[in-house]
Amino acid sequence: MEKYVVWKDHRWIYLLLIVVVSIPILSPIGLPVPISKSTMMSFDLIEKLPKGSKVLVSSVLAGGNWPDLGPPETALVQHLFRRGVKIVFIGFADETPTITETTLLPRINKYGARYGEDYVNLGFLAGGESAMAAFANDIRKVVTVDFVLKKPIAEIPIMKDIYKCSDFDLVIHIGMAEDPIRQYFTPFRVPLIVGVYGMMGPHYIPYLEAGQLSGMVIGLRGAAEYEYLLGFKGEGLMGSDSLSMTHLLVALFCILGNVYYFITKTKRKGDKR
Amino acid sequence: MSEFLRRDIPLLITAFLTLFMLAEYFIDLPILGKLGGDIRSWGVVISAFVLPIGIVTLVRNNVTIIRRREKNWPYYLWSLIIMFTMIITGLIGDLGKHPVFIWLYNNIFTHLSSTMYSILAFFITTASARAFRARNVDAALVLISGVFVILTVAPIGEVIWPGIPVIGNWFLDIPNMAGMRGIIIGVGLGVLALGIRTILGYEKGIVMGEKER
Repeated sequence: MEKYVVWKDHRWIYLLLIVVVSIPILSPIGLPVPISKSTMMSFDLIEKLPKGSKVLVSSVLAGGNWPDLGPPETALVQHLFRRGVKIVFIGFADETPTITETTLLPRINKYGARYGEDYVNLGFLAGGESAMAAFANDIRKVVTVDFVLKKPIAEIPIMKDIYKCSDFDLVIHIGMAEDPIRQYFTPFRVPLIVGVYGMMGPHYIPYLEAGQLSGMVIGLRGAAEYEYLLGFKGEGLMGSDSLSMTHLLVALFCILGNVYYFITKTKRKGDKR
Repeated sequence: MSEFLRRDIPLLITAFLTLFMLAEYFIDLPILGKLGGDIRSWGVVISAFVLPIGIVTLVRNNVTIIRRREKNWPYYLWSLIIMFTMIITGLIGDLGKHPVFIWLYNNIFTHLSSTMYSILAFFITTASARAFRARNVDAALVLISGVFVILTVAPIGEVIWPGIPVIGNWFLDIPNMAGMRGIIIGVGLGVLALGIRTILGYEKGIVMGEKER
């Protein structure tokens, strides 16, 4: 039996994982994507936004976390452009403004939105949660020019009448949820939707149930659900089959590993007698 | 005198600012709000200084290793070359818009960053086969709930058996939520205690090294 145990040499596991991830990408299976409650709440909230509403998209998107956070943000921002709302982007990771301009926005249909009038990128603020607190309380104190045109924000049409977080109708944060709950929702009670890492979704369910979060899009699965609701095929739906096969592989290994463990345990006990 | 300058003054500044920001949060006075806003913006400026400090430290450490020709020194040299290439091309002309910078960022940096993050998948899969063992009742419960949640999160769970997401969502909505609520409250109380210790000056680690403490 030992020679059939694939995990004795972990390279077989790596090879199996590569095959399992690659095949659905090259030849999609087309598994159905059930919609979770948290994604539906996010979609419904944005769907009800009146045209011209002001939305803050705050993010820690970077190259390293793009696979998990990029698809949710892409889907959410695509929905915002479709609704014709005004969008203000701000980053709290050093790569965020660059990746927003070079990777995120080129993938999105902006429906004729114009920079400066319909959306603006305010760049990066160093300091994590303290920067978020400073930004939420007084935007013009910490941000003087925008990221793309380097124009004073007082001269940018979209920033007229926006001075602090309470001037937004909705805040969307991409990253961990605790910081924006403390700095956006708790002091200002602005509706908050978060796009979070897949593994952190269960961690934030209490906040969703308590009403501190108005919606949550969880990782690649959440992005796939959101894209299905929007009716466009992005990285979420493309990766959804691979996600399914990988999870199935991990679950199978958990079960088979334990079956092997109990068989060999029984055999070891029998040998001892 | 030097102890007073090195340890006590920073602790006093920390305690004063912490109490001030606490007062600013709870007491609605215009003067407190204005000063609080100024202090928060100082935090952004101070944090921004971390970036050049990081660059200086990295250059200093790497140059020392390269000069001494320590093990793997060519990789340290290469990291300096790449770092300065990105910095210089990023600063030429319109900041961050040079074609070389954008090409390096889009075609090399982003993909390599994603790759580093994706290595985790291999470790988790290996662990699931070799390490996740139901050695006792507690471990068995964790394993069973974990398998159900893994299959609930992926669309394939519902395809295999419609009961999988029902059970998986029960695990997420009931035991998981109860446990996470307890953890969140516990963390909150811990942070509160840490804040009080900081205000009272008991947390000397922020101004002193580990050895001195």
